[in-house]
Order: sequence, then structure tokens, then C-alpha cells
Amino acid sequence: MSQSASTQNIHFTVSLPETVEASSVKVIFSRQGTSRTVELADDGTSFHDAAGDGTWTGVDRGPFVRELTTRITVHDQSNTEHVVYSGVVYTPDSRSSIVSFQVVELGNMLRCHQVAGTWPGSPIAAQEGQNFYAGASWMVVLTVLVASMVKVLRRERLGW
Amino acid sequence: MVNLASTPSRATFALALALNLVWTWPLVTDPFGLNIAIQMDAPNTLGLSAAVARAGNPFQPDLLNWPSGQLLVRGDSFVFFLLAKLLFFLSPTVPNSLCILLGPPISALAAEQLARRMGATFPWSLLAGLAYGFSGLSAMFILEGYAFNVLNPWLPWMALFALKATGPEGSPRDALLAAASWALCLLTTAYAGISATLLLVAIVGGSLLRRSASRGPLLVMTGAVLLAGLAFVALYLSAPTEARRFTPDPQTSIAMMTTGSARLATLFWRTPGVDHALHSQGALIGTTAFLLAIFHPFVPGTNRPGARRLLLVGLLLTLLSLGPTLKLFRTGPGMPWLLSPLAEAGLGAFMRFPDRLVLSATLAFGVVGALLLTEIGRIRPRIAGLLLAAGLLDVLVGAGLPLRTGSTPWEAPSAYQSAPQGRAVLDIWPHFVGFTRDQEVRLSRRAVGYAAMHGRPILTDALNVSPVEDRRRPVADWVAAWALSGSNGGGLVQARMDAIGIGAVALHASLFPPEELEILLQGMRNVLGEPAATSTDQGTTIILWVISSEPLTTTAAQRLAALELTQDEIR
Repeated sequence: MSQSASTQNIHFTVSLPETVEASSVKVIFSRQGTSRTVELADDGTSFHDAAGDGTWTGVDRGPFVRELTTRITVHDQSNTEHVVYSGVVYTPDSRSSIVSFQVVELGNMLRCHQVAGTWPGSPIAAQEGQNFYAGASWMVVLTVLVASMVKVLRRERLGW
Repeated sequence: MVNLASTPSRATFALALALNLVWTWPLVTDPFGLNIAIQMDAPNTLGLSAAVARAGNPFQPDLLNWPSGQLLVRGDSFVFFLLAKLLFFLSPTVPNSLCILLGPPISALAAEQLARRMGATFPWSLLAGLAYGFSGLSAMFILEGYAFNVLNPWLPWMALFALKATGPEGSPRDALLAAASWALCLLTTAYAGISATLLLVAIVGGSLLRRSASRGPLLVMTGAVLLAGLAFVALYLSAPTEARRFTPDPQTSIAMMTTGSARLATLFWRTPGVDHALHSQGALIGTTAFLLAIFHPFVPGTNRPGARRLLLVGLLLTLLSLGPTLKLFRTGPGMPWLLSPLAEAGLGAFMRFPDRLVLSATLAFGVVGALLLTEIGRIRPRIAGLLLAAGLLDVLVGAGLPLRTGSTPWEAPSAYQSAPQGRAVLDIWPHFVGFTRDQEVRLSRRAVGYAAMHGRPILTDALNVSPVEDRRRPVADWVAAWALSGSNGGGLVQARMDAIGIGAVALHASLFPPEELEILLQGMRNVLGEPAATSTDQGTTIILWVISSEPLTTTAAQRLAALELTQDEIR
């Protein structure tokens, strides 16, 4: 049997809604046939994470895998286990992959779906929104700059 | 004629090449071993180019869609296939990587030359190269896996020669070169052809209205374009029925076209979600070039022949790229837009990616923007330098390719090396349903990429997107059904695989839940014996059984009949 030697970091982030208080969040997955469990933490020790913000993070290091068969469980304050996700997660980057999930409440159930990035509270909207506003601001700044140069040129050409 | 050996051209190419090494990072660290795309289609592109490179008949290579061969009469890029064929003696990853490493600099150089031809001066003409060669659209092509789109110097050259041909000093030579460049655009991709056609019509139409065109070159150009166009249409219509797309109902057609359309919110910017869920479609047009271009008409005395036509075509194509429905975001309300009549007529299956029409728009905005930047540079060189730097920021942060690339090895798992040459490999993986059904399409693409590297044919059709239409799936289901039946089949499974021409069965073990894998493995051993090879390299576990290493004695028709029998039995 031939094996891969490179090490791949897989960063997990799971963001919970503000109404959910969890005692633990776990990611259980199979990495090249080996079952692994990563206990996520919301204690602010991970890069970009603030303690108690509802975004749980953790990392697993191991041989390169293109995908993981994954289950995510959330234990609430009464220690009831909720299986919020079960499926295949794609991790094709051989250097490092970030896998992010947003948990939502559906009636009495908790479910989650994969997202581009997590953010406390309203994850998708905030991270998507800040890029949109940054881009719009950039356009406004450039418009002012170009318009002022056009004004100078018109003044020169039309002899104002 | 623009001098390719001139100092500005050399400087432009050198700068663009250096920028591209950063922009396409980390490809330069392993140019022919790394896939930097993050969407699922790069292995498909690799597989198609490898199939064409090895095939006797490049229009029906037998590496894919075993046992019939892959019909490529309606393939995506004949220019790319030609490149693959010319480089057949090299690794199959070379054509794709060369397109990524050299395509943007070459395209940028051609755009910069067009800008200088129209009156921009170096270094302000660099904006045209940045806006066209390093646009968000180019980034999208690379991230999606369609790298052949970024090698397109023909579009700026077409505009350059067409402007010359329709000018007072036009010659038949310029006209023929314009027509040849147009044909190369069409042979690169159909969308590049449509985009180029609209640009050419605008250039010719404008010159007719201004009465500046000489009749001779105009007739030569029109005749050559018509001839080339008719030849392409004849080739397209010659495709047999099985290579043609169906015409969908209006609702399906609109949905198909809407998926590949641009949105207002992601024309100039992008968010993390575009790479996650929107096929990396974002920041298609550079903000700096666009703003300079639309302000250009407001400065008197700066208009150059062709500038206004370029700008109008750019704006028109941008509006068309929004597709049949005008939307701010992907979700949310929209209103019927310019392409809705085409979508309602069922053309959604043939024009699934209107966002690619932006190609000529990026060129137009870059060239016209460079003209205004030249004027600004004349009176305020520091401000012009700031604006050129802003254009570079659009490339590095707006399009932001180096912030978005992946890094996946091309090499196939080593277990495939135990599969016999000259016979097909059958890949088996689980079914995916519901929200994860895209996994099957992704895995089909991956299998095509593996085939390019291990060189054994596979049953998958690379041009079909639907798992339901994939002929691999029923055959894999048939084998899995026998494995799970509890019976060893009495040699039937091996005999049927042999009849189809399959030499090995490859189980993608890491995709199955461990408890299900155990049951399936037991059954596969029962039916096929002990596996010949197991590998865990390249990020996945493959367990491979050899069916037969004997040379094939059946005809393609017999193998197809055995395959169809298998499909009928499992349905």
C-alpha cells in the first residue's frame, strides 16, 4: 500500500445562533479510514475567535484528504445531543482547508449547513456584507478621484 | 503595425509575467503538478485535453465515454485541443498550466498594444493589460477550471486589425488578419466568439456610419468572416444526435441561463460566498478601468477613432451578461432583462453562461480607460500613477486570485497503476442525494482527471453534467448490487465486466461510511476476489480489483451492447 506524506491542516468553525447555549460541539469524521473526533472550543484561543461569541473552532492535522465523511454534534446545556450535520465535506486544498458551518434552529431541531465563513450572530450576512460595503466604498473613492481629474481636464480644454 | 520587439512591449510582457507568477500563486512552485482551481471542472478540462492528445481521431477520443468514445464536435475549445495535440509528448497537465502561466501575460500584452495603437502612452497603457488579462473574469476562468479562456490575445488583435482595416489606410492584409483573429476567438470558445462578433459589428458599423471605411478591405473582411462562420456552423450542425443538447421548456431554460448570469452586486466586487456557492463568479470587471472608461466621453478632444464604439459595446455586453433576469444578488427578486426572450425560446441550454460575454467589455473598458489615464498622466502624473496603482489593486485584491486559489495535486492515486492498459476502469462511489448531490458531479469530474493521469479509459462522458446520464453509474450500481446480494454471482460479474471491456474496478473507499464500507468490501471480495492494489495517497483511499489483463477481442459495438444490457438489468 502506498501512502501520502504531506500534512494538511483542516480548520473547523461552527457558528451557533444567539439563542443556543452549547456545552460542547464536536466534529466526528473519518480521515483516510481512521475515525477522529475534534472537540471544538469557544474560548478565544484560536486565531480570529473571541471567547463566548458563539463561534466554535478547532483544527485537525493529518495526511492530505480530498473529502471527509463528517458528523457534527452539539450538546446543549441539558446535555442533550443534537446531530446537526451528517455528510461529505470537500477539502481539496492539500495545504489547508477551512470548513465552516452555520447552525440554524428549525422549530425544535438544530440543523446546520456549510457556509463560506462564520461570524458571530448573523454569520453569512456580516461577512458577505462587509465585503460588499468595502467594494462600494472603493468605487465611491475612485469615482471622486476620477471625476475631479475630469473636471480639471475639462477646465483646461474648455478654457474655464 | 505595433512593434512586438519595442521597449514598451517587452516591458509590458515582463511586468505581466512577473505579476502573473504572483497572481497564480502557488502554481509556479509546481507548474505541472498542481491544480489551483477550486471549482469542480478543472479535472474535466485536463481529461479532455489528455483524451485529444492521445487519440487517433481527435473528434472522438476513446479515453472517455467508453466504449463509444467522447464526441467532441461541440467541444469547448478547439484552440486548446490543438495545443494539447501539439504537446502530446508532454505530461497532460502541461497545456492547462501553460494557459494559466502564459495566457494572462500574453493577453495583457495584446490589450496594451491595442491601447497604444489607439493613442494611449506607456506606462498608462498598462491599465488595458491589467483590465483585460488580469480581470475578475480571468480569475473566474482559472478558479472554475477553464484555463483555456485566459489565453486570448486574438480579441485585442482582432480589434486592432479591424480598426486598421476600416480606417482610411486599411488594407486587405489587415482585413484578413482581423478575420483570422475573429475565427481564433470563435475557436477558443463560443462565448468569446459571440463577444468578438458584437465588437467586430460595432467597429465595422461605426466605420460605415462615419464613411471612413474603404470598400475593398471591408469586403475582404466580411467575406472571410462569413466563410469562417459558415464552416463553424456546419461543423456544429454535423454533430450526431447523442452529442446535441435538448431544448428545454421555458422555465428550465430561464433557470439554466440565470445560473450563469452576472449579478449587479458581484460585477465589480466579490464576497466569500462567490467561491463557496457561485462558481467563483465575482468582481468580473475592474472598478478603476470601468470608471475611467465611462468618464472618458466627458473630456473634450480626447476621442480617438474607435473609442466610443468600444465603450458602447462594453456597456452593451455588460448589460447582456446580466442574463434573462436583472438581480442584485443571486437570491431575491429580479425583473425580466435583455436575454429573457432567448431564454423563453429555450436557448438556456445553449447559452448557460452569459457572464462570459463580459470578455470584450473588460477589453473595452481597459483600452478606453487607458486613453483617459494618458490624458490625466499628461497634467497630473502622480494622480495618474495612483490610478494605475488602483488598477493593480483591482487585480490583486478585487479579483484577488492569489487569495482564492487552491492547491490539489493532479496525480492520480497509485492504485490505478495496477489496472491493465488498454481496458477501461470502472469507478465506484456512493450515491449522493439532496443538498450533497453535487458531490456526484464533482466525483465524475475527478474520475476524468484521474483518467488523464493514469491513461486508462473510463465510462464517464466529460461533456455531460448530469449523474443520471452518466453511463458509469448504472454499471457501478450493478456491480454493487451483486456485491451486496450475498451471492458470488458464479463468475457473472467478471464475465460481464470483461464483455464491456473493463479491466479493473476501483472502489473509492474513503467516501463510504466505515460501517457500510465493511459490508461492501466483504461483498466485493466475494464477487471479485482479493483486490490487486490499495492506495491512500493523493488524499483518498482506492481499492482496486483487476478483472482481466487480456487484450480486447470484442468490437466496440459488442462492448456497447453488453453495457446497455447491464443498464437495462439494473433499471
